[in-house]
Amino acid sequence: MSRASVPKLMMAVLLATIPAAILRLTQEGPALGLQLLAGPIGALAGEALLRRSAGSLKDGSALLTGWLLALALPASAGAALTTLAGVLAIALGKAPFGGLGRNPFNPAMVGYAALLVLFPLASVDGVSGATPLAAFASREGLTVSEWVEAQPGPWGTGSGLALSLALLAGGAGLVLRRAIPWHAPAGFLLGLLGAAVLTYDGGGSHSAGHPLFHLFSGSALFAAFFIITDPVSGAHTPPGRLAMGALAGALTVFFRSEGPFPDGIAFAVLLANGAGPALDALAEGRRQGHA
Amino acid sequence: MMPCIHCGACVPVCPKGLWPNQLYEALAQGDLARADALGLARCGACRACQDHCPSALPLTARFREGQGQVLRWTEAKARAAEDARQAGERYEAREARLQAAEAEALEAKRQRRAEAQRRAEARRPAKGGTDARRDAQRAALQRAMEKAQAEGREDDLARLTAALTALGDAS
Ligand code: SF4
Ligand code: SF4
Repeated sequence: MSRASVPKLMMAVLLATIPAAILRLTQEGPALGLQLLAGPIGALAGEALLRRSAGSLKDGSALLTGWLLALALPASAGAALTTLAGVLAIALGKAPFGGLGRNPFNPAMVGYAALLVLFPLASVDGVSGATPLAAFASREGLTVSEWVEAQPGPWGTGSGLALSLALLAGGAGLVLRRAIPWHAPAGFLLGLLGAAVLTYDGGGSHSAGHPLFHLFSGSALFAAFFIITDPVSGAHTPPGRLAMGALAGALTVFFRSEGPFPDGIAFAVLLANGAGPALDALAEGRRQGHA
Repeated sequence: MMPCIHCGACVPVCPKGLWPNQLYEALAQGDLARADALGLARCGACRACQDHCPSALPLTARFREGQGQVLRWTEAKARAAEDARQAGERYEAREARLQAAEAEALEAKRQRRAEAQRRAEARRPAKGGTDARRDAQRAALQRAMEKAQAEGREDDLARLTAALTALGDAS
């Protein structure tokens, strides 16, 4: 095996999302293709404008940020808004903190959240009809910026399940090859499951949704393996990552059923990122106590 | 050289169970206490972390260097603690000395006072001496009165009589 490098690591993560991206393309059409190009273009443009070091365009981090951002957005966002979100991801989420290795928050989620705040209705067109998540989350007419909309059943069958499986396969592959530590994904899925089980009332009208629905939604698996796993942002110790993941997972359930935004994953991740340094300090303190 | 992206590749490969990324960060920040608490002393400089670092960071060399820094730092800390302990001892000795001197001075003062009192007691019979002085004054006045009478100085005589009465009254 050739020696690991930052660009190779970034590419490995990007490649792991390719099956899911292809599935989405076959389901949602060529417009999504434009969007998947627009995200990286926006992020790379932002990096080119604001970078701190000459080589930072080639380290693959901005490319990956833009790509993951474009994948996280609903197809209804469109290429123009996705480009803007890509620029904002770097301009707000990465450059102000000193570039690669220093951003405390996931830049892709910063771009995502910025777009939600600036254009709260941007995704209205993309979602038509009741979808499982829309039924749970979009009480004010806001729509779900999820890509599990196509799921006909409560925990996904057909295309929704295929997408979930594609994400699970790609993400699990990364973890098993130790390209990314397992702690954040495990924490995220456990936190999500735990919060979903605690809030599940057996399917009543106020239910936050069946736990398995939460666990196997495409957005949850995407967040677990490709978003909360961003190595730079948030916690940097194994216990810190486990706790940060759990926090993000639990908050995701909470925001899905309570929040004003159709999809609270971005905000759940950003909040959990913010708790990262404190969780690391706790972890280091505990270690010290045992040493 | 790339920065540490906290990919975590160095963590599972460390045979000592250390967190090389956090160690490296602590040393980069000059936080020797944190590096020490993270177990820097246990690093065996095996290079496993460095070999897996995608940013090709010079982890092992930095840890070696850091171990020396922490050693010097702990020594300096121990020296400072010893210095502080000695200074504390000196201070306490001085305090004790000052207190002893103060107690001594108090005792001397008390003794001087007792001595003075004893002397005053001893002088108490001299009260008779006072009477003797008064008798002498009285005799002198009487002599002066006789003289005044003999010379017929009436007003002087009256004044001297009053003085003699006053002296007599006072006694
Ligand atoms: S392997 Fe290198 S880049 Fe990755 S966390 Fe460790 S020190 Fe940082
Ligand atoms: S060089 Fe030190 S920190 Fe790195 S793997 Fe070896 S023992 Fe662990």
